[in-house]
Amino acid sequence: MFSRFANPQRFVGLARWLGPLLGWGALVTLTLGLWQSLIASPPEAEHGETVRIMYVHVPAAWSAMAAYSAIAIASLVSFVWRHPLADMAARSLALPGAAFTALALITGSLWGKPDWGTYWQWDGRMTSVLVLFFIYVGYMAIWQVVEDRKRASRLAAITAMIGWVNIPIIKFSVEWWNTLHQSATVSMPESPGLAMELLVPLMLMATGYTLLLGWLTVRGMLAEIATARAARCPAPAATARMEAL
Amino acid sequence: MMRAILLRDLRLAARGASGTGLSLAFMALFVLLCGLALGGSQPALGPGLLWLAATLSALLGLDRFYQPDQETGALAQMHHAGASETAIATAKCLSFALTAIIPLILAAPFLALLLGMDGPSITGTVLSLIVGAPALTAYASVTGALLAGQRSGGVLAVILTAPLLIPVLIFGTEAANVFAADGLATVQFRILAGLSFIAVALGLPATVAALAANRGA
Repeated sequence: MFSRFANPQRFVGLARWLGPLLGWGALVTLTLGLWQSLIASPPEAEHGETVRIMYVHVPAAWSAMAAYSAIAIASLVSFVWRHPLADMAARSLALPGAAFTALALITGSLWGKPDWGTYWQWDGRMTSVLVLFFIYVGYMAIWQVVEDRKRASRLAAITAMIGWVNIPIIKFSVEWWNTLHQSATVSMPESPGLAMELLVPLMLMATGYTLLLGWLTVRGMLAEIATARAARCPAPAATARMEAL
Repeated sequence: MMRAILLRDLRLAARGASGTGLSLAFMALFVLLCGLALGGSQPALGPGLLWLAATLSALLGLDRFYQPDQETGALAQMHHAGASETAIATAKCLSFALTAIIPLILAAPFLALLLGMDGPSITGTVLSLIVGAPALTAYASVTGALLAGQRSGGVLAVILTAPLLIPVLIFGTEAANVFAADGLATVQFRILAGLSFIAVALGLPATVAALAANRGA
């Protein structure tokens, strides 16, 4: 099924209606979700009003992890089958993924101050998300630095795959480190234990973030395809203008 | 073939081309600066500082891992001479460990004295560095191979390698810290050894793939 859309031409056809669908879907879901989470939902008993940060924070962290896993999978596809579309998908996911990681870190530390009394703690989860941010930076830097496109895609794919294998190790090791040396463990409200009026806006926001991620990726891929085409055969108008100069 | 590459690298190092001296000077300077900035001897922070010093000087040295040989065409020559990428990567890792990592480990006890560390603490730090050395080498090798075609990959090398080395750094320091009380048979030392194994298992194939990609395959 996926190989059908591995043809760039067919992918452009698909993206023509999938892109707007994802984009408008994201806009509607996020508007609804933001209204629900910031205005309509009640403050939570233990956290009070600060619980509203959760609706921005938790889906951002989910999306950051999901985006990186998608990059790793796309990189594997690109590495094994050398398909340019997989490359473009991985590359387009990187910046939104890094932005979600940064959002999760920033909102997390803003939430940490009122709730735990500190902006930052060297806790397993925070540290591993910060590391994830640097892995994103490194991945994007490879694309920036290596000039030859084909080589850049191979090297970036290798980087992405190694980075992914390291994520569980980072999480696991730092949790170990913490349980050995710090008794204070921060537990997030788990979704099953979450009341319905909190769960609905959270799920709306999560869906909205996912749709937004999808929309940005499709847009990024379309831009990449257009750039690749423009490089191969410059538009007649552009050529004429260049000749006129 | 591996032996030939290894001997060539060691000969180059013996003639001063590998920058071992620079790495050592950097490590010593780092410890000196730490001592000054932190206000004198810091026995409690010693293992952590020495691990940091060793890691940073290994990172600063990793642009000499494959880049010069890629630039001069030596890597291509080895390939044409029939050396597989695996053989090249293994030989290069061995020579990096011998010329870049082991000198740092040998220097660590002397620098530990500057930090005012006691005997068991120094032994623990050196042992943990030895157990962690394969991980340092393997991840340096991956980044070195990824950036082999880049002339100025220095900062990027640090950004790419540091996230991979974070677990090693954490457990290396922990293992050194618990050595004085609990000896070698601790969870920390075992995890550090496990991390080294994982690093080698991941790092060698990734190095081989990156070298192949930089060759244009």
